[in-house]
Amino acid sequence: MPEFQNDPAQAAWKQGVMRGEIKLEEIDTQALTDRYGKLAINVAPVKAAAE
Amino acid sequence: MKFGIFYELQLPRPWVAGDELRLYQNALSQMELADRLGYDHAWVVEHHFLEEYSHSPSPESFLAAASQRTQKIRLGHGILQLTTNHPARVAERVAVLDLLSNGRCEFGMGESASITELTPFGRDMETKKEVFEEAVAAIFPMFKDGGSEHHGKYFDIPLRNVVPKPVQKPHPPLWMACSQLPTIERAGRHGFGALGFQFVSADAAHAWVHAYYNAMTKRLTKLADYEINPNMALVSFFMCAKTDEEARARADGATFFQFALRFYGASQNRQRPAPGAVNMWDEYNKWKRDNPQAQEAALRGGLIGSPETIRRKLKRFQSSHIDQVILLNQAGKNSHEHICESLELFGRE
Repeated sequence: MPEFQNDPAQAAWKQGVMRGEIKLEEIDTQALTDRYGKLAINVAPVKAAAE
Repeated sequence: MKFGIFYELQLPRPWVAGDELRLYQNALSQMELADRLGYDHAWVVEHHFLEEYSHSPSPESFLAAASQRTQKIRLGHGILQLTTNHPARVAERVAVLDLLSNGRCEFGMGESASITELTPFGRDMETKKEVFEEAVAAIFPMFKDGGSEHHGKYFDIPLRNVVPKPVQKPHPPLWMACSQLPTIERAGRHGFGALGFQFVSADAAHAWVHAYYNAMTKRLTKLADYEINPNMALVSFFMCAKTDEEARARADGATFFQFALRFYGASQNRQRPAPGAVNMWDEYNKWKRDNPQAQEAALRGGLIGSPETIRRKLKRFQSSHIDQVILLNQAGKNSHEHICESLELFGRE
């Protein structure tokens, strides 16, 4: 999907961020630290899960 | 936005003669196809002893083969383990791949997240971060002209000139594996590209992009003298087909990736069963039958569907300013034919 690969807006955004011209909000990521992400599934095999 | 493809080289049981040969040859063919279609990166992991989950202990060999069958696609170590390899061997492998590929090497670094891998190499979960950071400090002087030496807690390397040197100067682009989401912030702080080997929603991606770039621009702490690589990549399940239903059916076993990752990675010091004691594919299928809703939820978040469905999902990732989506083609028992059709359909749309 070349329309995504050719993305000058992303390049300009990144350049702005790295130059300090675009300030990014500090977002609390504490709620987003689950090792397996929002799509977490409890998948430990029963037989193998002996701690 | 760049598109990468990603290889754990998964081989769920049951195994029959010739499986590993087919796995490797098919993956090389897929890389050739991806190169012709204009995909940007191909990433290959390094893992040891992780039955079914990853049969890829020697990414430098695999990528060297790929370098002779491709023209443009960037060839990424995603990653090399700095805990289980000597720093000089890492620098040598990176330089040789860069030479063989005419400057297409990407240098991803990681620690390993499993005692299954670390223990045989004399490493442990408690010190692996220290070993990683010391290895970084040892490796980068090796890419410069002339000799270097390193005398530290884990590595004692006398003055030697590590040859050859990479084509890309001062070195290939640097990345760090982020198997745990908070490591994305750490990658930013050290100035490395972030290889986010996790599955996140577009909303979560937005938050992690902010954390990554804020760490890099406000709290940069380099571990050695190297060039920073501001780039954030996230992995996603991937299967593109003519209809959503067909794509969903073809990707049905893809969540084996998470299942096996959890088996090896969860609970840091858990002793795993002896090799061959667990048929992970069978266990996975039992889990899938018992948890249909969780299976559906996991697949729903991935880039699985018709071109139009995937396009719609990608727009959300694009708005979060992710630099690269790494498409997880080869997961579970996704077939070679379906992977190739998916790559073609997506690449030509």
